[in-house]
Amino acid sequence: MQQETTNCTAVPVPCVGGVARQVLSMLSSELRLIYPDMPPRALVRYLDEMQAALTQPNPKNITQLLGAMRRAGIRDADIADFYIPVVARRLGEAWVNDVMQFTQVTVGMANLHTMLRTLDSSWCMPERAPFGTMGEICIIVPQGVQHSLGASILAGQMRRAGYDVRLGTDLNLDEIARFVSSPATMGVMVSASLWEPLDFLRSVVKKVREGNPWAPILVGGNILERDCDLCAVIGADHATNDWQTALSFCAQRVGR
Amino acid sequence: MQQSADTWTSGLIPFITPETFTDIISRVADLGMILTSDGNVQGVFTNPTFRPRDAVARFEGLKFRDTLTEESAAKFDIRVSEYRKDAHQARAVELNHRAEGGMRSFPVRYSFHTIGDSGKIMLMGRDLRSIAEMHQQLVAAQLTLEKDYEARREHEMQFRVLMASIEDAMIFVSLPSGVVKDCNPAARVLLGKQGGDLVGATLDHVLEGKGKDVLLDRLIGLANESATTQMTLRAKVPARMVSLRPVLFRSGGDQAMLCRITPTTPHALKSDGLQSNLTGLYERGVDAIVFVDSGGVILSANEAFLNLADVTHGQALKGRSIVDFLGRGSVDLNVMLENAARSGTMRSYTTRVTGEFGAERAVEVSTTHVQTGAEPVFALVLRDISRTDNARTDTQQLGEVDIQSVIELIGSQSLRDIVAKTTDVVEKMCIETAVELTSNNRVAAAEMLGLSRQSLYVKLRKYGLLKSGGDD
Repeated sequence: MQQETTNCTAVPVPCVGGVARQVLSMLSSELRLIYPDMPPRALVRYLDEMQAALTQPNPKNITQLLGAMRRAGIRDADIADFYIPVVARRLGEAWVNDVMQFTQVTVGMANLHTMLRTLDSSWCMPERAPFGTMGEICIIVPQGVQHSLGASILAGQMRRAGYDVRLGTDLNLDEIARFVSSPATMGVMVSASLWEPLDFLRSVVKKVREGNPWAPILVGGNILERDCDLCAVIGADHATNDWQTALSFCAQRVGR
Repeated sequence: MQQSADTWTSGLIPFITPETFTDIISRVADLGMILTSDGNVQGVFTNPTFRPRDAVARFEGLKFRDTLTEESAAKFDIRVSEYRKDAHQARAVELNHRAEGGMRSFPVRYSFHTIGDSGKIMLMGRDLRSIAEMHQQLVAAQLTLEKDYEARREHEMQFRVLMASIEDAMIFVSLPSGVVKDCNPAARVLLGKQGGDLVGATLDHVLEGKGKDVLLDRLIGLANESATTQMTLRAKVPARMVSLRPVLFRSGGDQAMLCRITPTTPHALKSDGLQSNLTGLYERGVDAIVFVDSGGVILSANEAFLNLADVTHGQALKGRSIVDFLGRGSVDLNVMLENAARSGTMRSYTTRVTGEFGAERAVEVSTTHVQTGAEPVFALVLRDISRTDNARTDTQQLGEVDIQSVIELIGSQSLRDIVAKTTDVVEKMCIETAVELTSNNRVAAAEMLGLSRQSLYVKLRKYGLLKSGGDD
């Protein structure tokens, strides 16, 4: 739950639903490309099953579901990339719509973390070279930001692509500058949700600049749903939720 | 008294005095508000045990939604509107009151109740701070776990690098389920599971045997006998004989098995001497063979290339780019590698090799994209065609014939016209050659000529080369 006030207009509730639907539609189309032989209904049905399994206290349900998804041929990396973020969004949306209680959402989110760590390492480790030699990236989850799930998935995606990602969770403002200070850092990504006050994020970006004036600062997370020029307000260089776009932005800046 | 079918299960609802009713609701709920029809807080009541009583008392007179955080205010607007439309369908709503005047933000679960016909609503709230505190503890525990994972990541990475560098196939099998828990890239290649679905499959899905249990029993039995014994089985896809050497271990209370798998067929391959024949061809062949990476850096080059490039020792090539030896430098390299990367091979690309001492030789290059590991590698076979090139000169002077005919124009036309025609002839020849060299690849041809793609297109049209230059 939110702890501090925000200074920018929050996105109206119907928009949240709209975004979730959009994500679902994207998921369905992307997964259909990856698994052309699997019925689209089956691909989407796992979302419902995941949500149901995650909000129940019995962890065996999660293990069984994971086994069923793997047997159906769905790869662990796709579970991390597609299914887990969508179910996380659905949980958030269910709370906004009062279909699900705060406690259920809390249990669900904790189970999503557990599920992510139950996956084999293919979601967050490259199987072949390059092993972290593509460049160094820092991801920051500032102290007080409640959810690190998105940042963990992002780190996994970039590590899989061969980048050396340093994930700093629960960093207080004083720790941030030191964390990003390596001259080898080719980009600093700040993960933030809609609930984070923009003043706070502005001070986070300021601390990053103090620690590393050269690296581009990118911001991601569902804070991008805010109806304002986020980069201008908080002083970041780029705002995106697509890790590949983020990496190419960093690569361009480094190449200049 | 009437009985309410929905809520009052048995008996009649007793008469309750207003004072008693007020006492009941203030004790049943943690806090409550009376809202006017326009959403203003008309009254606030709290449970005697509810602590920030004075803080919530200040809500009186304010718009209720103004006491909420932004996302909660939006939620409240929707729920209250639903309630006013259909009171029976309205759901309870979880809202966050904003932090103010030293009071921290706090969550409350409210239910809606109508009071009379005046449009007033009573909100009865349950304080969720204790749950929120538990949530905070859970988040803190989660973050600690995440930090632990991060700390362990170094070992995991070392393990991955080690697995990737082992040429033998290695699989970790969970027992007694027989499910493959982990494997290295070599295992995926050997067992035909390049798509990555080897993990999660049971052993009997990848190896032939009399059922999973028999297969596992045999492997466990073998592992218990001696660490050096091995078992030969047939892999299902691709169908080939493989040899398994199992090692049993226990971890975290679970039994598991590591299997080192090696193909038995390479011995047969060795018997026809392909490997040694290829090595012989590389070492003693007349054509130069060079392996380069995607950036053109020379990985290895044979003796014939050293002769072609006038390089005295192979060490002199270490870390150098093939671009240093190509007549058109990076243009040649880009054309060859891009075409080979796209279609796997590129044949008969003609260029010149410039030796260490400046001598140039015409060569014909065949490029092959060889994906042996994670990084793409290109094999370039360069054939010295300087002799045949000289032999061809006589027959390849068509351009010169054109030039001769231009020279014959002296006297019949002005110098300006002759120069213009000569330029056209030379331009046409260059474009034809570039298009031919790049196998009709216009992007590569344009790059080779230093033209934009659009300019090349215009010139192809001008000289009527569009048909021969590819599609229109």
